Amino acid sequence: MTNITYEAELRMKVIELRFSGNWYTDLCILGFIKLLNEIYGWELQEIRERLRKEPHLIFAGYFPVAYIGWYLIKRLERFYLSRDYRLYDIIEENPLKLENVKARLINKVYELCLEDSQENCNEREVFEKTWQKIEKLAEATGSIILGWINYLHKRKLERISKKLENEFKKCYLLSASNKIKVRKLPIHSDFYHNFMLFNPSLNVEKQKERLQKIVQRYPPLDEEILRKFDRTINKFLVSEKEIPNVYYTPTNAENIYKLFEQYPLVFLMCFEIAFENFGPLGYYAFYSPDLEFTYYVNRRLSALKRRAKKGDVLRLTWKAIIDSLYEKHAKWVLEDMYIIKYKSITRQRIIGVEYIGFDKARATLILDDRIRESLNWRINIGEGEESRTVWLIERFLQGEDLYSIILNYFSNQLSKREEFLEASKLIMALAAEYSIRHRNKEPRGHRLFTSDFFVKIPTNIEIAYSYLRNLEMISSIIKKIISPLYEESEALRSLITILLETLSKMDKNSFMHILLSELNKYPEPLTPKISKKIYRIIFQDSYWYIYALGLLIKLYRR
Amino acid sequence: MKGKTIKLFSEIKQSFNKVLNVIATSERVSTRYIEGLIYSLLSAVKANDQNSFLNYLITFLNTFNREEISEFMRKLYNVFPLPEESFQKLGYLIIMGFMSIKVRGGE
Repeated sequence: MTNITYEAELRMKVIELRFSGNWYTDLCILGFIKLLNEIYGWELQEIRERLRKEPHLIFAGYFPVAYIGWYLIKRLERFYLSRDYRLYDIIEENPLKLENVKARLINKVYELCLEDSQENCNEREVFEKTWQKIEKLAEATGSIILGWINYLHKRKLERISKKLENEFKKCYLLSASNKIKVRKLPIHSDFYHNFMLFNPSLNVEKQKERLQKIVQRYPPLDEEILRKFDRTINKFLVSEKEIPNVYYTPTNAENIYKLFEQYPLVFLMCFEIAFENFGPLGYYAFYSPDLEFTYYVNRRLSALKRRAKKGDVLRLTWKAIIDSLYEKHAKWVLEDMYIIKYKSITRQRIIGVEYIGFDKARATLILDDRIRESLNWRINIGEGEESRTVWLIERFLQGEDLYSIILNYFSNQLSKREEFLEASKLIMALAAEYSIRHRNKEPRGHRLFTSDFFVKIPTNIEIAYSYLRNLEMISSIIKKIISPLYEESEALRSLITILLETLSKMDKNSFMHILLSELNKYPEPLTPKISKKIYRIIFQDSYWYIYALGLLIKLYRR
Repeated sequence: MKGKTIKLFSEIKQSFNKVLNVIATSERVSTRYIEGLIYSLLSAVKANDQNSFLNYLITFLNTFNREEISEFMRKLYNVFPLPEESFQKLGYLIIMGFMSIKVRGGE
């Protein structure tokens, strides 16, 4: 009797997808959503609705098929792309190519899941049907591998075909009538290693049992189950030690159990899926505390990845973030955004984890159209012939010093005697840098939560624009004074070169000396207003050199 | 000590503005002379040569017989000698002041 009430109670309970602020568990949720989206094409809203209406169908029906499907595709990808087989070089027939094979498998999943209605079944019945589908799916995978083997055979590549055949035989039985029978699901995960159904010693029946354990509904916190459970989960929970530069709320089985309520394992097994694989560069996922936003950025990231060349990961990531930010105007979410990256996994240890965050001040600046567009280009800072390009917006968000990048770039252009057209962009970038530095300079004893704490951010953009205004004012009058100099480009160049040298030594005195002696050569006076302004900037602003560099760039552009 | 210098500086600035007014309205000062003076002052500041800086300045201002100028000189005399950084600040203040009045005077 108690059991029935309990069941009823569970059915009443709605499983909501929401982030908790712990990136590890949140990425598990993201992985779950991403999986359903990739396989069935459901949007976030649809997933939420389905979870509300028919949770048992999702967890015992749709999810396991998608999950196993995802790992089967991954397995095929591994065969296709690995150095041992080099199938990507060999296969020329279109239907056997990876993308077509993948599409075929996803279609299969789709077909299988839509063909029958399971509305009146209970959880166990649903799972039984699901398992039949999974077996069909595994058979389809087997026939794809078989297709490859036959193709290799035809091309007389015996060595590779033998190797692939051995792999095939580990998982499948081939009857005399060429009928494929699954001995075990050909799935593999570096991340979960031997955990649950990924243990390589399991046969298909055992795998079925394990899968059922994953998708089954667990009762609310029960000490005994928890203790059993604790060991299992802890096997793959990353400890703080293993990700030393990451701080996340240390969590334990109990917390996770509570968080995911009835299906803790389903979510925990999705962690790996949240990451996007960028080949040798590693695995990337974007994280912010807002579920919708995180989901959109990650989806855009994988869409961009499909179109782009290799080696552009960071550019793509930032592009995905910035575009989505811009589209959604999610300003409040700007506080905490991270890109979590890991290089590879061996023996369940995540290697090379990086955790790239960026602060609110920088992100607000990016939201300004003019600033974003000005930063969104690559400049070549390589010396001489070799080229080394940096993407300004990326460097900016990573907190690097734009001033020295631009100083480098400008002095290179000057020595190459190259005209450049993007002076206004460079100056805008300097303005952004100026505003960031200006903001960081808080007076000592400054209290965090004073009334101006919340006002501070929008003023960032104002600081940048006041920089532009001041610079325009100074440079226009100086340009007017030295206008005769523009007739001899060589003299102008040497003046700017000398000034740039003093600037790179941060020698305020020589800079002023040279500039003023130059101005003194011409009859036109500095107006008192401008001379006050210059004086104030050079002697009262700690970041006078950013102004000075801007001035030189402006002077160089006639 | 630092607060005191800042106070003296702002006083000097004020009376220097008056001095500039006097020079700008004076008929006797030629642009070319001021240009020369600026060069000399600039090289003195660059070399941190406070002695010759004062020397050039006094020689020039000596030609005016006005109360504003003697007041300015008195205040200036009080702060010297200066540490290098402050000397630069003051030096460029005076130089840029002169630069802003260059052509107002007669030729």
